[in-house]
Amino acid sequence: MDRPELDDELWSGIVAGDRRALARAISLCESARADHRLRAEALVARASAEPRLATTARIGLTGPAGVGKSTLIDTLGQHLLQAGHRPAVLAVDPSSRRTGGSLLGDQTRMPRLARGDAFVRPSPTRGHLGGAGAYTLEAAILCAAAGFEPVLIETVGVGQNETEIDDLVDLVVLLLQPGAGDEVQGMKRGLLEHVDVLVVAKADGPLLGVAEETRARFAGALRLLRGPTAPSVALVSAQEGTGIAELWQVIEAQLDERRQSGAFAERRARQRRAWFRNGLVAALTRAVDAPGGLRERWAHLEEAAAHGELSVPEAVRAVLEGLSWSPRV
Amino acid sequence: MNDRGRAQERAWLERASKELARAGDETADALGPRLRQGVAIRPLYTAADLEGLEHLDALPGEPPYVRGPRASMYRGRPWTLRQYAGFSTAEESNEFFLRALAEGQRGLSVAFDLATHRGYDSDHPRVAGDVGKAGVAVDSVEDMKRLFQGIDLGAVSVSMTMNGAVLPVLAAFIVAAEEAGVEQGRLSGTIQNDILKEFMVRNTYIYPPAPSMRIVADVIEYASEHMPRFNSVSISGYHMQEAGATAVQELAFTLADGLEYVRVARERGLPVDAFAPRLSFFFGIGMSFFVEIAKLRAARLLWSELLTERYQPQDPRSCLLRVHCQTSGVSLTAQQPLNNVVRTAVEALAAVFGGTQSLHTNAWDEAIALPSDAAARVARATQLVLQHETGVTDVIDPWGGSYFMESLTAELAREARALIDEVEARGGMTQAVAAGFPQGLIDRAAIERQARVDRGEEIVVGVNRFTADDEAPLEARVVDDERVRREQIARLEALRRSRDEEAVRGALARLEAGARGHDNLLASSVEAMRARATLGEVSAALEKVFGRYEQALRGLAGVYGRSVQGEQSWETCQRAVQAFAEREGRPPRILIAKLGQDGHDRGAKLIATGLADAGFDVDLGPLFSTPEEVARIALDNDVHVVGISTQAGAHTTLVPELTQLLREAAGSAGPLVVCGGIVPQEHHEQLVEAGVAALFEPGTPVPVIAARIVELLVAARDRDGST
Repeated sequence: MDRPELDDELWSGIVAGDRRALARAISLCESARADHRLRAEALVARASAEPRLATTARIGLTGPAGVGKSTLIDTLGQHLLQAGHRPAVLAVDPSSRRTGGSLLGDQTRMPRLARGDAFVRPSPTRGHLGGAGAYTLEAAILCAAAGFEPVLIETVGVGQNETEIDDLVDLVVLLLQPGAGDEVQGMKRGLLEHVDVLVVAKADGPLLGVAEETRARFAGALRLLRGPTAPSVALVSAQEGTGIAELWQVIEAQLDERRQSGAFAERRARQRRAWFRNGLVAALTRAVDAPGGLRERWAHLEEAAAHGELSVPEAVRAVLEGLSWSPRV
Repeated sequence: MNDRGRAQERAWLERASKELARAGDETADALGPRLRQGVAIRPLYTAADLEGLEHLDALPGEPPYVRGPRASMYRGRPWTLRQYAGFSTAEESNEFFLRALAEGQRGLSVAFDLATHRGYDSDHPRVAGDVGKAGVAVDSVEDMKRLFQGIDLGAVSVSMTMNGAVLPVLAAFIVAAEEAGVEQGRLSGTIQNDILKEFMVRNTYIYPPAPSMRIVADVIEYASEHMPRFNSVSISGYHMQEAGATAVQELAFTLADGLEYVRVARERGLPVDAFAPRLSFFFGIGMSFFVEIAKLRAARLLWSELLTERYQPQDPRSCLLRVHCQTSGVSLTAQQPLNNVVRTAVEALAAVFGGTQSLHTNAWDEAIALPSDAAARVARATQLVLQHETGVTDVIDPWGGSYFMESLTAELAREARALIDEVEARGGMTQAVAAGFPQGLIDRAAIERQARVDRGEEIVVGVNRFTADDEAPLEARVVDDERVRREQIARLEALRRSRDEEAVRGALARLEAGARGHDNLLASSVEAMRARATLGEVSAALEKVFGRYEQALRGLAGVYGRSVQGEQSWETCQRAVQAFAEREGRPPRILIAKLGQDGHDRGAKLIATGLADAGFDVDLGPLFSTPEEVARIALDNDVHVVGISTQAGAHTTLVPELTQLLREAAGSAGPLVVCGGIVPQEHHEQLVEAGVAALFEPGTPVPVIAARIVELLVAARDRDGST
């Protein structure tokens, strides 16, 4: 196996905490070019060996569009900076269109953070060969290597990939609107099983009463669903800055507990397992689809099966028998 | 319509079609409806179009006031020639005002600089490039006194465009007048005080929506008690039109804003007749001649109906819509700029036919810079010629009874009414704005119009047709903002040395406490300004309580691309972007940013949407950024290009700072910097020297910009051999 060479200059910049080096390294992760991919992999491999990685928490923030994720991150980030942390924010938009470019307004949605000492990087993830998840992990590992902690990962919307965030982060924070109710119960049952902290946002002004009601309802639902380990439900107002310090305390307490119990390391191992599998499937698919790859070779067998010249099981077997098991990625 | 009328119309249609057929034209195209501002205009209107219209019988000065708010109209007194002006220091603006009054101007209209709008003193680090640039710098009562030196504020009415920092500015005006011997009850004029449209389109707000609305109500309340001759809100559609709103949108959202202000004042317990007569309106007048006339007539009709239905006022003046108009800034072109004289004259005529009470005519060089003295004189003369040479003041509402005009008036009113109902169903304008409802509609209309211009469907002479390539550069007014800033800072220091520090601190503490409680904040601000607190100190005291509001820039992905699909230039540019993406491994990434306190974001949003649709990855930077902040985002996001959208002149200071920061951090491998917007010719050399790779003047089509940027990027990459 040809091991990609480490870009020493870039790497020394990253470990020194140089934002420019980190920014360029993340661009390599975003790139679809094969040589960039190799350079990115070498950096990620080196960064994965950093002891910092195990201590840098990755926290996922998710929730429906318009719930105020960016605003909360903007406020939470301020709190973290004041408490002596140096947070990184990865805003990942897996829904960015495949054709055309992307509009990334994250810095305008997190104006205070964009002005402070945090590292904020919105990313269109369409280009990444291993999918949005692999990109996010690579970028998060590089952020950790550059000394940013914690790494906050904002994912847009709650859709079919709602449980995937579980494979990326150490802790999932789900944001809900005051008054969120029945539609959430149905839609996010899957997510409710994975969420670690539930937050009712915009708990201020005329919405405060509704927010309290929503908190009570979800606390009840979670107790039913998850029993005594049910996560807590917090109220925050990014506008007024209330509940932010408390939210961070809850997050830290959970992380501490898991670090002590070993659950933290276990989850990281599970994440790497999922990453391995997804990465392998992606690589195999790429190899199959590549010019001169398997798909070209099986095209005539597929046609033969289509026209009844071969039975479908026979055609499948014929493809498998021709495999050499050394696909070039 | 009777049978005879119908038969007559059929016969006409036949004749017209035959004529066209002989000439070889496509009949359907020539005689079909034409869209103007979203309104379908037919080729012929007849008596049948007047059937069922209820507003036709009322005469001028009679509800619903379609034919004019006053019975005598221009026979009594022509409209007030009121030019919006202000730049540099208070002294220089004062000289300009005195000259304008001597040359026939009747009222004053003050433009403040962006630092003042946003509640910062001139020595605040965030406003380094903005002091004295797009208006006059005013930090204190002393500046306000200098601004009106030698002008009798008991006789000349003064309009002030101020929204965010309305409290300290109006307070300084009251105190300056008082110290010149004019007590506040005698002051006549207008304070804009229209915060809703700031959240919607103009972005010179300071505080979040709820406290901002409280401030609006405080001003209305104070004025209704102490300033009977002063308009406490100028409910403005102008900026909506500038941001790209259609006539119906401008009409509907402006009146819906008005309803919201009436609502907050009523919630204060003020009877409608105590303040509604002092609400005034402000509309933009663009190039759609007939539509603009009808818009003003429809606005009076609707406001009269809405107020009567909802509040049953006793005072007829409460239902009466009085309006100031300004010719359209976006209709001006940087190309062949003298053509703007004609555009402005035609727009001015429409405002007059619509029955405006006062008028600002733009100077022809404003697409490029602040007006020069010569251009400002032509702008004033445009109105004087209309008033004195053409006879337009001889007859009241000359379009009254026109089949076309009356039908168009009714149609605009009907459509605007439907949109107002939609806003009201969303809980009124405060809620609708918070949800982004009007912004979304206006943004979409703006992008679609730009796409029509870029496609050549809407003709702009000298821009997309009849272009010339031998244009001589013109001389624009240049403000030495560094000098203005130095002078302002010296004055602030002198003020702070001479004042009673304890009295200032006490007044500011009372203001802050009043903001936490329910005091009238204009009354408290008058006390603070009288004690010689500065504008920045008053704003900061309120900011401690209310916070400073930040609003995200939004783009509308897909809207531009859909409108130009299939155009050859568009497909060529998309292919170039794609080729770059394949070569570099990722699409070209651009940060679109605004520097300084300039909140005009139509251009930034438009270009962001257009470039994203062309295949760029586009980061939108926060409004009101410093060069350091823009450089930080550009480098963190590792963009290939930074695009600075500039409208207010701060670029000469801020852009060179930005290019230097980028060079220091990234050397030649850093992002390219390009600029778009209003950049006078004589700034070009300076910006190019500072390292700006390209300057795009207003009206440059998106595909041209996209293709040029890719070309520059490819050239830079080939030169550096970088990856």
